[in-house]
Amino acid sequence: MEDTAEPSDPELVERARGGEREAFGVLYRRHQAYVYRFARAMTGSSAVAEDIVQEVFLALMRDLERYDAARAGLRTYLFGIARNLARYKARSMRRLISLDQVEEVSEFEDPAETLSASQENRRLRRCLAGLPARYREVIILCDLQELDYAATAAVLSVPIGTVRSRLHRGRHMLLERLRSRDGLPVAKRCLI
Amino acid sequence: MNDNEAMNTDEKELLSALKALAREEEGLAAGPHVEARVMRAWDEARGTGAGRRPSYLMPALKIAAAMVLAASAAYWWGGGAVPPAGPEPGVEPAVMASWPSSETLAWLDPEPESLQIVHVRVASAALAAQGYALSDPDGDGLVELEVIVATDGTARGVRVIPGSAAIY
Repeated sequence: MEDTAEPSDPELVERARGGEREAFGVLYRRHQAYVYRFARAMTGSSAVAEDIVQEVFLALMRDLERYDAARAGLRTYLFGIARNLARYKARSMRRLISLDQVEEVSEFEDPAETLSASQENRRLRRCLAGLPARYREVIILCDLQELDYAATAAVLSVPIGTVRSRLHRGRHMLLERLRSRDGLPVAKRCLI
Repeated sequence: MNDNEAMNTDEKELLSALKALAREEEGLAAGPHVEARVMRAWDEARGTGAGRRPSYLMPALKIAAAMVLAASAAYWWGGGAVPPAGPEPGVEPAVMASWPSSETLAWLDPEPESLQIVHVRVASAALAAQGYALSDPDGDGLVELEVIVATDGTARGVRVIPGSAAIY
């Protein structure tokens, strides 16, 4: 977690509200990678994820006064913005190409990364990208970003019970997708 | 019983695979160009940043510009509303200061306006030394000029009296 010697997010937000450029820069560098990975997992595109990162921090810049640290942590707040942007952009992408094509585009988008990535992770990523957004996002937040149920519920603006049920259902759907490709047990499928 | 205990083997293996995926993606982040764009937007919105002029510089530039305009206005209109006659090419009022007074013959013509025209006879050799070669039609080594002088004593313009000399 964060170094206690570092200024806290609320402190940096307060300083940024006062116009301190470096405070906002620290906030960006502290959180951008988390937002980027979440957006990338949601959209399957590095370029779209970078656009989302930019838009998320521009939104934070515009609404610094509106952010209330008592209601949610800053990262949770940023994930909430990123989630809305990712869903909006995903809808736009669906108008142009089918989901299968999206998966192919995602796979070939970063050739160098594709070469270095392990096969099982690429396969898992493809299956995850094929899940409906409401299940995909809860798995990404809980299992990849390792948010707890309460924080995930805050990001998604749903009750904690809904998070638990979607997570349960989503994991099963993901397993089914992994099984449907080759019929092997999960452990072997993920290692192929 | 917690969630992990309720999971079957497949789910546990799935979670393990997801953790491996998360570890693989740990180093991923947006490129530096994204940070540059975000911070540029901050600078534009807040009017700060290393790439911009310091905040004190713009008022200073405005004051300097106003002073230049005021000085120009005072120069051209400070002594009255009449704009000066344009000097002949190559003859500048500044030359007057270096002219030897012993070789200058001047008299004042009363004028109704605040500007006065001063007729001067100047040694042509002195003008030639300044780079202004004039003819000497009288052969006495002097040429006749008109200088427009403001009430503050500042020369506003100089011209050669037609027929008295010619500039070469």
